[in-house]
Amino acid sequence: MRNRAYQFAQVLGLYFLFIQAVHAQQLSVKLNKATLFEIFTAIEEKSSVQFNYDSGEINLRKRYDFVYKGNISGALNDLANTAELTFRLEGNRILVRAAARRLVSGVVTDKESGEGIPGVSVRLLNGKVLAITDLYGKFSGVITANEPGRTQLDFRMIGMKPVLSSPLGDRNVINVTLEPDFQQMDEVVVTNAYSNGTPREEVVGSISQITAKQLQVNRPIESFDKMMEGLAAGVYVEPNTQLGTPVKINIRGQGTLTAIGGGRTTSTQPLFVVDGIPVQEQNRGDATGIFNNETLLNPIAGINPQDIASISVLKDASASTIYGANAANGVIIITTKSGQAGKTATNISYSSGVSTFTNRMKLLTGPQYYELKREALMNSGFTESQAEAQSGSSTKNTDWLALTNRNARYNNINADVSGGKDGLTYRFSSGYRNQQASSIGNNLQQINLSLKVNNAISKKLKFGITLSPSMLIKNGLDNYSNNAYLPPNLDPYDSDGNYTQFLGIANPLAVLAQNEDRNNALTFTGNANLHYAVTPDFTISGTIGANYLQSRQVTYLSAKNATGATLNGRLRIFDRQTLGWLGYLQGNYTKTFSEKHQLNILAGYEAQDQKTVLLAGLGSGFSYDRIRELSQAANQSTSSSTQEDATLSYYGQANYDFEKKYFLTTSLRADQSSLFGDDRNLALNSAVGLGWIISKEKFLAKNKTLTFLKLRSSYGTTGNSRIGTYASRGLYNFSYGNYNGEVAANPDGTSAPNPDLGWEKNVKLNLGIDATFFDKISFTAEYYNNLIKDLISNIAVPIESGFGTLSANTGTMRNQGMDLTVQTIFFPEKTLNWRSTFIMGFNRNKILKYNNGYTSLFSSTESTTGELNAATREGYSTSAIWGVKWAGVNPETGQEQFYSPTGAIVNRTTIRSYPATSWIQLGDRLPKTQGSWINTLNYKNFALTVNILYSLGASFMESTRYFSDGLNLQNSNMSVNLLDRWQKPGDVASVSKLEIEKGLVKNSSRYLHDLTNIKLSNVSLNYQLPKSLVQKLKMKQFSAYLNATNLAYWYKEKSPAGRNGIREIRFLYPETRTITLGINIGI
Amino acid sequence: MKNLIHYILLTLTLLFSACQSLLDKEPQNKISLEETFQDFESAKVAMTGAYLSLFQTSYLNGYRMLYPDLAGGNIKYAQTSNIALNDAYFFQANPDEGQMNSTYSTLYEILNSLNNVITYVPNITNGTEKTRNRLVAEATALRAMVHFDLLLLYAQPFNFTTDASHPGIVLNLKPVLINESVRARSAVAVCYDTVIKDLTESLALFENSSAVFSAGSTKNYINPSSVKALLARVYLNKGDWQQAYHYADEVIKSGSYKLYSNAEYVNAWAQKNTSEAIFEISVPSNFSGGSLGSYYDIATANSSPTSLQMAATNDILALYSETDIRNSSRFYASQMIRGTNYQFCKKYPTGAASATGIKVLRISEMYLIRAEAATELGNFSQANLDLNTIIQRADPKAVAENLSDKQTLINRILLERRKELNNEGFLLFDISRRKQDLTRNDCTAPTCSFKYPSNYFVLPLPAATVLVNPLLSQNPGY
Repeated sequence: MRNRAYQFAQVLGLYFLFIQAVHAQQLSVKLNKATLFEIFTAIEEKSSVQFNYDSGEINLRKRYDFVYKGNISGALNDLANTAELTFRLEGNRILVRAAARRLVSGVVTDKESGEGIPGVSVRLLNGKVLAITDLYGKFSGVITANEPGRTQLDFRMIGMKPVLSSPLGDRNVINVTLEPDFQQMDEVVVTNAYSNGTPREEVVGSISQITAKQLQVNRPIESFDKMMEGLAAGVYVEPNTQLGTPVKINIRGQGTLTAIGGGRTTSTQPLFVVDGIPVQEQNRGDATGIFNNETLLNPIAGINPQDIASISVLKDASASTIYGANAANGVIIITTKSGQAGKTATNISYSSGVSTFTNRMKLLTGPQYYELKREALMNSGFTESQAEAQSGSSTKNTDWLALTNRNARYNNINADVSGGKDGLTYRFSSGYRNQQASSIGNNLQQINLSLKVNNAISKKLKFGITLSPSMLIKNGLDNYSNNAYLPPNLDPYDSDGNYTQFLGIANPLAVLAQNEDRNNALTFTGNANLHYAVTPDFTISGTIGANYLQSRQVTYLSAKNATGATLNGRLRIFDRQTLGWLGYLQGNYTKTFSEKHQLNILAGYEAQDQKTVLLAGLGSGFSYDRIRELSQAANQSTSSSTQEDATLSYYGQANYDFEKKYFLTTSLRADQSSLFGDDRNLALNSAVGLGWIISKEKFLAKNKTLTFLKLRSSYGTTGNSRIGTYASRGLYNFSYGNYNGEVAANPDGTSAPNPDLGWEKNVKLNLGIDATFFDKISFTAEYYNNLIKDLISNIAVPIESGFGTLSANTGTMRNQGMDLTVQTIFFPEKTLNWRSTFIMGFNRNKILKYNNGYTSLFSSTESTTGELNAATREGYSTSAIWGVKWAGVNPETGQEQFYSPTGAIVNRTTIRSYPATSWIQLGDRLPKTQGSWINTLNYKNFALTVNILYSLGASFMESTRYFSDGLNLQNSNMSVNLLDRWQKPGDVASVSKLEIEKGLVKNSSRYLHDLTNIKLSNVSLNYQLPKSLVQKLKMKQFSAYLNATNLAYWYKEKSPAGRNGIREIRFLYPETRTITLGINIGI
Repeated sequence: MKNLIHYILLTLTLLFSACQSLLDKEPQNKISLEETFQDFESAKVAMTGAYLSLFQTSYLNGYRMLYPDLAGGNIKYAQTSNIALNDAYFFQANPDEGQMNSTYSTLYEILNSLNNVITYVPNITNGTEKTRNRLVAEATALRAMVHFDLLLLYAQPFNFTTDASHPGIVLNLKPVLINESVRARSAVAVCYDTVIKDLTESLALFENSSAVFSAGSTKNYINPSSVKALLARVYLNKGDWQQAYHYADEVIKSGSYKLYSNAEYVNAWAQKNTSEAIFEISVPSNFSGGSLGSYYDIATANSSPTSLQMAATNDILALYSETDIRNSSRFYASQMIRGTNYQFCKKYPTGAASATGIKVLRISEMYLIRAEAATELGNFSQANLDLNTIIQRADPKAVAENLSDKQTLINRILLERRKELNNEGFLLFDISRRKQDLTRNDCTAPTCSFKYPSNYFVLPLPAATVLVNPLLSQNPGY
């Protein structure tokens, strides 16, 4: 970057040289459509100079617009460019000559592949574009200059290091090679799906872009949302160990209040936009509770990570406001790969791997379980013989987890063909993935196809089409939590070898063998776009896209085991059909004025419509277990549901820059949605952003340490409309069934009326600095302050209202923090080089105020599900964990003790008698600081990538269901930590006296853990076959890699020896470590 | 250029206006509260919903019927795991996750639904005044029933304090918006007055009304007799013997309801809308979930270990004579479970899809109410007469009682209530309102007996509501 600015300054200097003497003279000229003669005269009148020219050589009658204010040298400079003249100063006289013309041509090739690069811009140092390379990298153009021999050419291509040729001298042919630019300052950033992207240095908003390479798609991860973990500053992907389930992503902190008691809040998920088409979240049907039994698929599962060209995460207002009412949680833009013109390229990749458990929780053995259950029963008042009778076998020992899990295999194969010529490019890709989960009965098979064709019919007209069908088969007999925690003193088989039947709980082995849960889905997304350049400055484009989903889930609970025995077999078939379409029509106007003022205006109109049709068929009473069709069921019923919504939006963005130095961006979007209700509230959002490249200023232009410096700021609003239909009005649900055959409707429990409910607004401020040192170390730091007003959340209300929760505009919250990215390369020129990216995100969340005193009334309930203890209180974080302080086990009574608000040690009953307002903050669910350190080491043909992720300062509350102090001991197996229980007076124990029906204080600090950890998340070793060898094999490239995920953890909190700690209990479903081996071949 | 811009603008304008119609979408399965009460037809559907909501596991299709008999000693468990209400059975219900918590929230949900009908139906413009009155009359009576059940479950009996000033329940008499939802419990006396007022007003509205519901039987809907029967039950619990006598007497004398004969007795329980039923909750026609019957139905014994939980205790079985139609050999189904023989009452003989409606009010109760009220009023002959009607219907060979000591007579009536109304949700409430001690002999709970008065004769309020409602006081002991 420094080079360009520096050389630009140098060239200006050339002009300045010979007009030194008069350059200080000031003048002001304003002439429209004036002849050259008139211009000369005007200048002469206003200064001491005199023009000398040969009227045979120079056409004095030619007319120009000439507007200038400043010193004379600037005026001449301007005129030289406009009128293709050269000036030379001799005393007060200025000699005028027509500029010399010279035809130069050449080829620009890729340093790595040796092939011609199309689309490279070849410019003169005054910024004028001389030529753009053609499909084969060739260019030619006429240079008009004073001294063509001194002219230098500037070659630029997005993603490549710019090259400045040496002065032409006598040469007419200039051939150059370009190489990829590591610093990526010239990388094109996809700022939104409505425009074509902006060079990195011109971006004003806060956008993290992850390229295909950075995404490391070779990892055995089933969807790209999980892959994004740690790759972008300020983006926190909450780890999740279950296959194919939706992933939670927080961009710059949690965007809305933590849901209390389940139910509705606004969505905390970012908006995903794939090639311009927003991905619709799958919804439950609201027809009947029946549809709650359907398993939803991850909406982005249909996108093959291998097809992704880049992912842009829009974080601040100036970047995301163009997505208006859906952008409050940030927007994630996915751009898929396109074909490149040139020879046909084929890539094939294959990988295969195996996953094994790591950090598995240690559970009680059969005899231990028997002993503890017996003790608990006796402690609860049962006699020894009663307790023994209820405790089952004292000798049997079954490891249910081992019986229901396996080493899971992973296979993934991808192939793509791309190429193009004469304006037509295409890319066709196909992928097949087969991924097993460790839990038997769970696997995912996926076939993705994608075809993308772009065609430039003429200079004015272009069109493109993308079609991507995908097919998914998911088997999800996931009864993990029942399986693993089944009492271990039960036998899986009886003496005849049949599955043992247990009271009330199904034998998991029988379930796996006899039940069925299969999901077949077909998704089809496609879009077509047309661009028409009305004038070179003004383009009209239209895009129409559609997505179609057809999924069918079949679940069968067999009559042969307890799951389906009551109803003699139960079949559920869910058929889901979603058709969504979106169209937008926009105009784009780009114009450069006086070479300094660049203006780009985008305005468009978008219509969106989505319809989901659900159909469920239910059957029970199967006399023959193997034919699982509704027709075989004695009792059959059906249900259906339709949901539709539509949005109309108007959007606009204006970008202005002055000399590529000062930047201004404004965005606006208005949304009208059928979801907003009758009054059709128009959601209006706007933002403004400013940027200043300081390093282009004179005082920094020659600085060799600080080679690039830019300041950015933005301010604006986004909205969050995703709260569901008619949320404020109170709904009657017509699907509860019938009474005497007549339709019956009841108030919908999740939609309590609240006439005051309004929209949530998110006001975002972003301040950023980008700096590059020595052209080598790039550094980006951003400060943000997001104010979320009129937060919509579900608050717990007194049950006497007839509702447990209610949606309300509860208050104002702030997310404040910093995102930091440092990128560098060590020894770039050496054989062994090391690229390193360090990312750090800080976030502080604070609830600033509550409306209407909601805080005192509706702080929260102690969570009964045990996953977290949420209370939301003014002045604290929404993800704070609230509770009481544990004071250990009383050695005399074995009862747990707590610190009362006054600091006294009290028992369980007393601590419970204090109101929720006396709770203290125990920790925070989300990390204070999190990020990653991604390293790539290259040595000859080897590349080693190491991903290290870290998370500091988060707390974790145990799920009381299986871990805590024997709460549910009579029905399920538990952690070995229970062995350390109190047994007799005098015992100093960590676990209180075991009892049945024990009323645990679930929100005590006893169950709180420090989640601070560093994780060696991925290591990948890649070997590229040498070029010479590859060529002999008639290939373009061949590489093989070994990849390992989840290799190691360091936790600040250590697990006690032989017991479980945070490492083991963090995930309900144990983590797996996957080792894969793969190859990539390019032909 | 200018022309082009004009064309573009024109096209866009046309496009926008065409697209505006896209926004006309209606929710498909749900309609808003306002629209529900815009016309009579929809309001009727809302009332149908209120009836349906009575049929829930947490209410009359389950816990409301099970709890007083489990806690009182009529039922024990035939299973050892996944058993319903064992916290209540152990008298260890905890406010956080007591199984009866769901009953509390269900009852307030129903109140909300009823209050919508009561509040909004009078403003509907179509329908006739008489039909509108009928909807409001039925909803008001149900509101009284729900309030009364809340009182039984969550508040000590009327006579717990001399002036019934102890805490009752939070009363819901109109749709509650968030800013009004923090309210305190009213005193029991106030609660009883409210319940009685609702029932009386309901009766008055019935005077000027015409039937709305025609599907099923009239017994499936609230009618003036069921209101009176409810009044008799409420006054009995209040100890207003005059009124209890009056209303029980009116229902009996109406002649609309007839006691089952001895021969009919067992089979009648498997039938819908029988002669004894005053108010019976109908089972939805496509119902397939677990029902009250599932806890007793031996037909599913082998296939479903979770059903068939509620076995009769030896305590209750021992009360019946050899010749009583209600004894273990006639009125109980026997089933061997893990080597032990258990008896299951045939009051709810079938579960799931084939379940029979739930008899919420039946005429036998009226005879026993009249007998008890008559005793208190000194009319021992009427009391003995009614008592013998019930005793001898079940056991024709039983010797007629002719008791003249008030306490003996009361005790005999209570015994007969236990024998006749078992598994219908009375026992624990009869024990506490009569200030008796609870004794369970055939019992597997850690503590089987409790002296009167006991904090544990009422359930805890759910912690979820106590925590967010600063005006709400938890029941002592929890």
